[in-house]
Amino acid sequence: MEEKRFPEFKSDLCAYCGACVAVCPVLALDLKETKLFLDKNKCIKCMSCTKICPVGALK
Amino acid sequence: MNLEKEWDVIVVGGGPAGLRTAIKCAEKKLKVLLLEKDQELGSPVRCGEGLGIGWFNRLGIKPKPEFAVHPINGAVLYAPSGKELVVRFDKISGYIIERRMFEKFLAREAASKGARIIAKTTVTDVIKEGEQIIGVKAVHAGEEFELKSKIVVAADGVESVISRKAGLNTTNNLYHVDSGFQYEMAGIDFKHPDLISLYFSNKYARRGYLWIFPKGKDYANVGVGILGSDEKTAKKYLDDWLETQPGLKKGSKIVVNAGCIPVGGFLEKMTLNGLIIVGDAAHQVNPIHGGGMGIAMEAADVASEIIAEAIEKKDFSDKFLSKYTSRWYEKRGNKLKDILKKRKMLEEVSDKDFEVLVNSLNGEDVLKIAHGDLIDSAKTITKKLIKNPKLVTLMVKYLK
Repeated sequence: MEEKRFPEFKSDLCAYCGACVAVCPVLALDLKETKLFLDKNKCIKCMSCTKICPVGALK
Repeated sequence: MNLEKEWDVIVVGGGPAGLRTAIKCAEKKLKVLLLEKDQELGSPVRCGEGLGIGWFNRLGIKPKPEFAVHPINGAVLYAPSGKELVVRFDKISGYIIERRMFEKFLAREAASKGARIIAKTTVTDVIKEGEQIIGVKAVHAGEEFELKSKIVVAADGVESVISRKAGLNTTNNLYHVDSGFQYEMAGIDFKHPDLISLYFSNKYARRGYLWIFPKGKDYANVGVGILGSDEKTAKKYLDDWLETQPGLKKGSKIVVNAGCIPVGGFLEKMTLNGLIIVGDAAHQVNPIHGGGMGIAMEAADVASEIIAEAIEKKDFSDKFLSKYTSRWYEKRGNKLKDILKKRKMLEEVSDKDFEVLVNSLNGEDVLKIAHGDLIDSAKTITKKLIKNPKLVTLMVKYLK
């Protein structure tokens, strides 16, 4: 089975739309204008953010 | 920051839901402050920008040319094969609006009625006294400050961070959220500049549709909305589809928009002690077409009625404010729940079966199905069934 990991963020693809924040069940993501922050202490590695991302900036 | 510290109402978020709440609260002579995190109201756009004429009428908003940039006379639905089903009215059925201008128009109205609006101000959390929310913590240009208010309105969009920090679970479930991507395109050719064009196809838009929302004869929002949990990105769906559309592919992409749409995870609880949520933050969106502006502004009207009552009675408890929830469901929410049931049926329809539907129905039928309740919709389809045995097979398949 694949080991759980943190989502990987590619800032050059990001459209800063906040979709990832909207589906994060633990509020681990914070979008401040054109910067996205992931709080690794909160992240539960559910990967919901990677699925919703309209542009594939989270993988 | 040089700002009064105590307010009747603090609205978090300057989209249609928040601005309309500010307008209505100001009309009721309440002391209202609206805080917007971005540095410009109306930007970035995360919207197809279509608004039906019914909403303009219900909300009493005149479609002024400064924001209502292009009139629409109906819609054309495209089956996967390319076959069209045209629903055209002899009068204007809606407008494509410029959100950048629309939000500013609403903001000017709110300000002229006495509301205060401050952009580039992020609300980071609510302030609580026991179980009662009594204000917000905010940051403006690096400066942190605290403000008190009798009621906080969370109109902070689909991210819905403030209600979650306050203690309401408004996290979007991946099944009830669509992933959206759109280009504003210029120099394009498309067949019906007076209609919105909707393309249905499981290949190019799984559980969703692609759209052309015209802003002129060679100028439009071209986008896609798909199931949130889809492994393929919305951008990839749109780019792949554009490759099949020569009239669009050659055009210029002048704006890139992305976002997600809360299509139907309706909330049972939309208030706390001292807090009300409206708009995308409360998942107040049509589950089939994903439109939310009109619904959000109507909810704002309901919210401001309750807020005014609460302030008059000095009762800011969850129990009192929850009248908003029941009043909103009576007015709109229950209808949207019915529409969600129809969407669940539509989700199952294969591309092949969709062709049969488009070949059997006319524009008028589509309207009846879209606007009627489930029984009316079934009646409309039943009438057609008699004429088309293929539809009987579909009914048995999807309505079991």
